[in-house]
Amino acid sequence: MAFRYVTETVNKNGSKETSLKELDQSEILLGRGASSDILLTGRLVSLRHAQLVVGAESLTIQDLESLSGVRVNDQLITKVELHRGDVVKIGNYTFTVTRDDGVWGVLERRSDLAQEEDAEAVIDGQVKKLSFQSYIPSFTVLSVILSLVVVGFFFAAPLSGTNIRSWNSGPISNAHKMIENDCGQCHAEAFTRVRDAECMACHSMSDHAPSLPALVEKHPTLGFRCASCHMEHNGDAGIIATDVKLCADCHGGLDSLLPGTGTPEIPSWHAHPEFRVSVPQPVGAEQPFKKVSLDASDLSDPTKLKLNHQIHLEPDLAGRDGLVTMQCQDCHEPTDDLHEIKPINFERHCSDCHSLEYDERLPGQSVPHGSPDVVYNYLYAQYAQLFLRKEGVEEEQPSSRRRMPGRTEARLPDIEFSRASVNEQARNTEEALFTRTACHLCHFVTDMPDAGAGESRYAVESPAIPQKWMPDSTFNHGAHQEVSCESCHVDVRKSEKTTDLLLPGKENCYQCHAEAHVAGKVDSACVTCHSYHKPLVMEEDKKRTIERILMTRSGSFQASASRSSVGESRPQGSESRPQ
Amino acid sequence: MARETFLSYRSYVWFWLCFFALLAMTVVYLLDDPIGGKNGGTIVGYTYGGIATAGILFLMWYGIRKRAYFSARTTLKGILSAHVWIGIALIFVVPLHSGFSFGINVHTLAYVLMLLTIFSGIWGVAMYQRLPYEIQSQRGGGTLKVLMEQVRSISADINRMAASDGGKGAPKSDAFLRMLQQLDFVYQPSLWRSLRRKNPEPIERRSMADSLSSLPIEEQEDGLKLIGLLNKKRELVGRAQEEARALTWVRIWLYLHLPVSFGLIAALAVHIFSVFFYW
Repeated sequence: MAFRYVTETVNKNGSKETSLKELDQSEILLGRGASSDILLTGRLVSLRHAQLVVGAESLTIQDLESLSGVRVNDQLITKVELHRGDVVKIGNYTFTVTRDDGVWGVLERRSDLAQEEDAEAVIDGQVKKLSFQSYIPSFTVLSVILSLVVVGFFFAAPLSGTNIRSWNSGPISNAHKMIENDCGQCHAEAFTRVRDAECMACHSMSDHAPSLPALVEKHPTLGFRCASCHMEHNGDAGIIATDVKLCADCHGGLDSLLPGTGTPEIPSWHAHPEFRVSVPQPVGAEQPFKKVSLDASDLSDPTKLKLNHQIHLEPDLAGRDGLVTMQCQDCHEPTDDLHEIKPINFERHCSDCHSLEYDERLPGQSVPHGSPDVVYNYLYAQYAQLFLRKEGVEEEQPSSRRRMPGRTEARLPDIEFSRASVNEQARNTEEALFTRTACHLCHFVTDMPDAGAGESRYAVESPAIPQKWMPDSTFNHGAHQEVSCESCHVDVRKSEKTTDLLLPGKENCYQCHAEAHVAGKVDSACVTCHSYHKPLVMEEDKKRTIERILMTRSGSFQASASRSSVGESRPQGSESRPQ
Repeated sequence: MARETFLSYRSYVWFWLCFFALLAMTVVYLLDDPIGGKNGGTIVGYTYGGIATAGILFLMWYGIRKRAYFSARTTLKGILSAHVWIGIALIFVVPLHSGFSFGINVHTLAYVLMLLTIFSGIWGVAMYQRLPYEIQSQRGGGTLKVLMEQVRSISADINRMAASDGGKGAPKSDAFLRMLQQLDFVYQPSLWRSLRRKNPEPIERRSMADSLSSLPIEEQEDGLKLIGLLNKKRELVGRAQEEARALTWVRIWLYLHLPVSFGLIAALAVHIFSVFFYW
């Protein structure tokens, strides 16, 4: 049977060369061996590799247990019938089955290009495969990409109002969190430090000292701005400056800054002079108060009262309802927020023990705690009432007096009253009260013999109990409530005179309070006790609405631009420094 | 005494300069107690920021100086020594500048990019300390290309040996080709395998003996020759892979070092712009 073996070779220049080998036998041997009908070479080909059996209508291929096998249409086979167009692979050879004019054959395509490929190019390709540079972009490309990413995300984006958080240099203080993303609220002008106007748009401050605005004006180079001390973007750490040296840089040398004023120099808490108390001065004095140091020899409480702390603190005093042992807070009552002490009030703090009863024949009846005239007129009215009732002019009124426990029902005393005796009774009782009993016990009383009718003949000096001895500092009693009163207000139990000033001095504070970083002591700065400037309530027309604060949340420049275009949103005069 | 390198240049003069400068800066930092706490906006903060910026620009300038072949005033070795030691010092200067405050923002991004640049540089220094001894092309060995050519030519030798169409003698037996198929391989260069040091082992004695014993007597001699060639090929492939590995490690850090340094310059510019824009 005829069989055609056609070899088609494509040259380097692209032209084809065809060679034909015609075989006329029904069994064709393929292999490397010399007896092969179709001689194949290559390390993958066996000496006797495969056999083709050519029939009139069929062509069959059989693998002769070869080294690398026979593949027909990419299937490994042992024996199979071939059809026109089937692709047979043996080693590196590829044949296509043909059938032309009833004659079977195989076509082998060879490419000289493939075989004689430029060795140089192959080796270059291999070297390239081993070089990491062929897998990554060049320096330039990488550098440009990275720089563009940085500029795009962190420059262009913030400038256009997105990713503005990436410019935030640190956590904003808690109080300013609601304007955290609206940089323009504070940074109104580019490349300019935050101006006071932006602070004063929301905050109103009292002056610190009368001299400060003058100082600022005189030395503009000092550059005092709100933000010089109130540092934002440091969390809550910087916004309220507590540094001692903020105060000390002026107060450490006030004598040279403000010569002649006698303001003490206070370079530090440790070097703080002894506390000075504001002692009220007599009426008509040049100043209503005089600052006197706690260690001054002429220190004295000018309160016009006869108060003996020692006696008050003795155990088992006779109280209204029996024996009492008094505690400090019975008279020195803390305010509701526990910060301060309420003013002494007779009705609340004294009257339980100090009765103002005026006539033992009228038990339970007390004079009001008022001025001498009030007391005298009350007495006169009371005796006149009794007289009138006796005379029967006035109907006896139903008793509205409270029945006192332990006493029998009060009844009208058995006194003979006359018109003359009303006045005499009133004056007698007045004299007793003001010179011997109730009033006299605590108050300083002056006799004024030429008093007219309806006037008391006694004058009482106003006690004028100072409410705040150290008005320039704040002391939170509540924060010290775990400590007994007497551990600071020492010698209270020994004090017999009102003139004793029972306030603790700085040594007392030093027991617990020291400057920063002293082991075992509370860090204490100037602002622990003193405030720099008290916040003032903003004037109503300067206030902004929450909407206006929050509406520009996402914004940056557009936001600040639109804000400044709303003219009225800038408070009047906010451009100037706090005056 | 050991040879002076760019690290030990002039008895580590740049190391000591940087060390004492850092020490002084740390002392100043610790003594400084600015209002509102230590941060980049204090006098010390601005100063250290300026120093760090100058340092970064000096480090970038190395790329230019490196190519200035006719510069005679300084040696490249000295400049490289300064480049390395100042770079390492900058790791510590920046926290002193910022008062150790970091966040998720462009400012810290600049620091992170700087750290990436510096640590990739340190990695590069480490590579340069070790790997040059492993680059054979710099020690009299062939370049990758020469090695590839050798592999190719030895493969051709092996193929020739297996081929029977040389006209000389009978074609090789199937056993010979089977042995070849078992012990030879087509070399496909792979960087990944090179980096993992998956190098071909020499042929084991046992498989050598098994293969040889399967050959007909007349092919024994050729078989021995073939094994010699195969082992030579394996050795060459191993050397090429080692060369590729060393060359990769000694250079690839630069592909982080350089682009990231440009990213750092961009982030630094944005950092400086933004802090003064929103002063």
